[in-house]
Amino acid sequence: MKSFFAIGPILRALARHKTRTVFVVIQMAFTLGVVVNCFTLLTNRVEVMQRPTGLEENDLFSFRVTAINSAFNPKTAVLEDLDYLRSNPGVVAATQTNTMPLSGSGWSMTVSSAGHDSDEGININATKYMMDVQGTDTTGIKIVAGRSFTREDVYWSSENPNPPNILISSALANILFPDVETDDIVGKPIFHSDTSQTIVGIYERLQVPWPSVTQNEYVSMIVPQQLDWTSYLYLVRTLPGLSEKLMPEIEDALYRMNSSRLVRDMRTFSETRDMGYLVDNTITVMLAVTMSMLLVVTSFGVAGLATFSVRQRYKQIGIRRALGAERSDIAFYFLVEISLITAIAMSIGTLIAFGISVLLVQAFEFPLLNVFHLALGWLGVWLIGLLATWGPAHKASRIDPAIATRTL
Amino acid sequence: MIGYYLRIALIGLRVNPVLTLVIALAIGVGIGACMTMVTIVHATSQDPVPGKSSRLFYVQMDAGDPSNPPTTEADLPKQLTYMDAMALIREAPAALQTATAGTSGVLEAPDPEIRPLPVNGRGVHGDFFTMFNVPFQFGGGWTSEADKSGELVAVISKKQNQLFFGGANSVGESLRYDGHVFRIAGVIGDWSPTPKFYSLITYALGPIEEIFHPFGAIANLELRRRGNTNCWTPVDVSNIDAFLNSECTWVQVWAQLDTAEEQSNYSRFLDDYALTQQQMGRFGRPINNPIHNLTDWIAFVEMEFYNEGVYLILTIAVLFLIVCLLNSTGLLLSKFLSRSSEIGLRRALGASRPQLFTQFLVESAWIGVVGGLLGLFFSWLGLRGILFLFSNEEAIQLLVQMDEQIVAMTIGLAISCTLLTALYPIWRASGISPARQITS
Repeated sequence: MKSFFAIGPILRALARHKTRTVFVVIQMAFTLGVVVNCFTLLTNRVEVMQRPTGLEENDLFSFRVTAINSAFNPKTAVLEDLDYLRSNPGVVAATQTNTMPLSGSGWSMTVSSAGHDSDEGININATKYMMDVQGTDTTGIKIVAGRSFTREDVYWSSENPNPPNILISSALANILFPDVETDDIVGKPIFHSDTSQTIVGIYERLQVPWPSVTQNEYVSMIVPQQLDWTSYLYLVRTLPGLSEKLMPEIEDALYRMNSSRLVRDMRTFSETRDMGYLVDNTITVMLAVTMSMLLVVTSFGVAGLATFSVRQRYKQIGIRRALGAERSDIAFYFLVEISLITAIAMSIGTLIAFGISVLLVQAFEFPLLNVFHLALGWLGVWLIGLLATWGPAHKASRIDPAIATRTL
Repeated sequence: MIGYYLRIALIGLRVNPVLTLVIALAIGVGIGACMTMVTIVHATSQDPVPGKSSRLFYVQMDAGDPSNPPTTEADLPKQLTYMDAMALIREAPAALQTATAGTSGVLEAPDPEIRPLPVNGRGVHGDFFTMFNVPFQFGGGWTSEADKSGELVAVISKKQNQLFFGGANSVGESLRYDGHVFRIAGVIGDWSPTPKFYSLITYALGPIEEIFHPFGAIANLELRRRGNTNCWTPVDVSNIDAFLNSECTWVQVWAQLDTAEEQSNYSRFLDDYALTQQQMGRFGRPINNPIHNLTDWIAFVEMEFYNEGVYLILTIAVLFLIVCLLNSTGLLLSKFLSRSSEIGLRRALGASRPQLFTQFLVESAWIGVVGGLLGLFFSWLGLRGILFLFSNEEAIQLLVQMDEQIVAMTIGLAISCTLLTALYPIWRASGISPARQITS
């Protein structure tokens, strides 16, 4: 008679070796708890890092210009630089800008849908991007209502820091004017203390410069400015595949054109993205490493106890073999045994996993773990248990029936 | 007797070397993971100004937007306006005070062969160097007369001195910052505060600034500022006068107040000042001017700003350690119980329970030592790994140093954890009755 699924005897045997069983159960339960939570956090981090910025991120690079001394004349330098950049056959578009998504630093201010004296306006903190006439072409953002900037919209920052016509993101539009059709929002004014500006266009999305912001991260606006500051950024879009070649060429040409300023931090947008998410990436790697090591350590523990369990039952195994059990019966016995232990451990482990998850939610406002992750965890821990037990189970199946006839 | 136990313990370990190694590895990995995180947290919680941290105070005044009142302490403005900071420096009752804000600009060396370098600067008052015990390699800071007269004097970092002057005594030399000529009064010695406690809320991690110049130069020379600026009323930041007189907060102020009496006098001054300002139409919110000493301020900011990733990983590391220890207990159980016949034999020959208990304890301690050494290795590996992930950034290099305290803690933690986890297995093993083992 095949005794594969004779669970009764297996359970009774476990009950007789309570301590050992309890240990494996606790080990596996805790492992499940920690691994599932690590996995939830890992997937959450990955989600955060994969958010679209709203930029067309390929073929895009940026660099910073910093004045060395007072010989630097911002207005002439900017116009010369933009002229040079835009006339380069490999360049599709170029714009000045104050900052970029994921760069880590930027400007923000409180804007409102109604004026200072009105009580009814909705207020929200919005990121302020300042770009010139080729801003939308360079960034690649999509205009979903209204229009983009014209030459007439753009003002020098020292001459008019509050240009009349601006663009806002659809996220900002929906917050300020919640029940209004997007097309009808175009033309409305937007207020900042006593000044107001007119929305002439709405773009799909542009992320704020701070990568760690996960709420309202698409609430932004673009103001048409030509910046006559002593330090600012240029954003350049090239024809497909040409960035790598053009970057050193452009850096060199600009340096030779004007010696009263420094050109530095020239990098592609994907480098900016990697730098912006450096910490998150590190955390992701650390979580993955921790999870793997945990499973490895637990498999050692389970293997060790399984070996011990086999050694304790040498005689019993020998007797069973002598009585007619097949090799596979013996091996299967141990695999079924570990599966039963796993089942018990998973129920306790699920409680532990939720317990840890609730603590993490309260302490760090992380998302609660979901059932899919839990199921993956069960599968993973069960597999580890089987793999770890396989070796000792195989050795057990090789025990000679002649053992039964010996006394020591 | 102790020597006997030590020797016998080593023999015991050799019975099943693989198992022993696996146990030590399990412990080592768990300890390593924990200590990696502990090292990083430890590196950032050193007493920043030993002996003085409780007497250096960070000043906050709430001159914020009255139509948007604060709900928690964290909502209070973390910096001051230029007007308020200057008023404090002029009139507040403190022996030593400094205002500070970051700047950035291009440094040019007197030697034209050396390429100009964009650097970070910091505007401070002369008292800064005394207050924060800044060590000098050459020269020193400047006096309050220099602050008042607007003299262009500067202190540069050791690294900058190496770059521009080959490490020589450059006191008296000049260099250009943002095109203006500054005379070097001093060169800072070995100083890498982690975090930069004097500017906790902006760029706290990372090497110190390359040049420290008088705070007054920021306004007088319209230097480019580097840091957080928060304005709750609109202002054209490129119009310097409008900006300096605005409600924009961008200045941090520190005061040294040695006695409780000085501290309450200072607080009273702040409140009186706020009252006067209220009469002139400013300070629309309820008066709230907390002062925190350095230790408290660091704790307060850490809770808010520290990337929660650090605490998260620390929690995960502790849980990981727990699992490792559970595994160790199980493995130790099988290790000791598999020697049942040996134990039975020794008991039959007259060994008492306490004697066996002690022997196994010593064995476990040995495992703990090996585990601790492996833990040191794994935490070193973990720290190198983190450094690698951050592409060897200077700021991170300061965080991943293991000092003697950490090494001692690692070994100590390993041994105590091992002993703790071994208690149950040892108790079980030493209780094995001789009779059952002798028969069969």
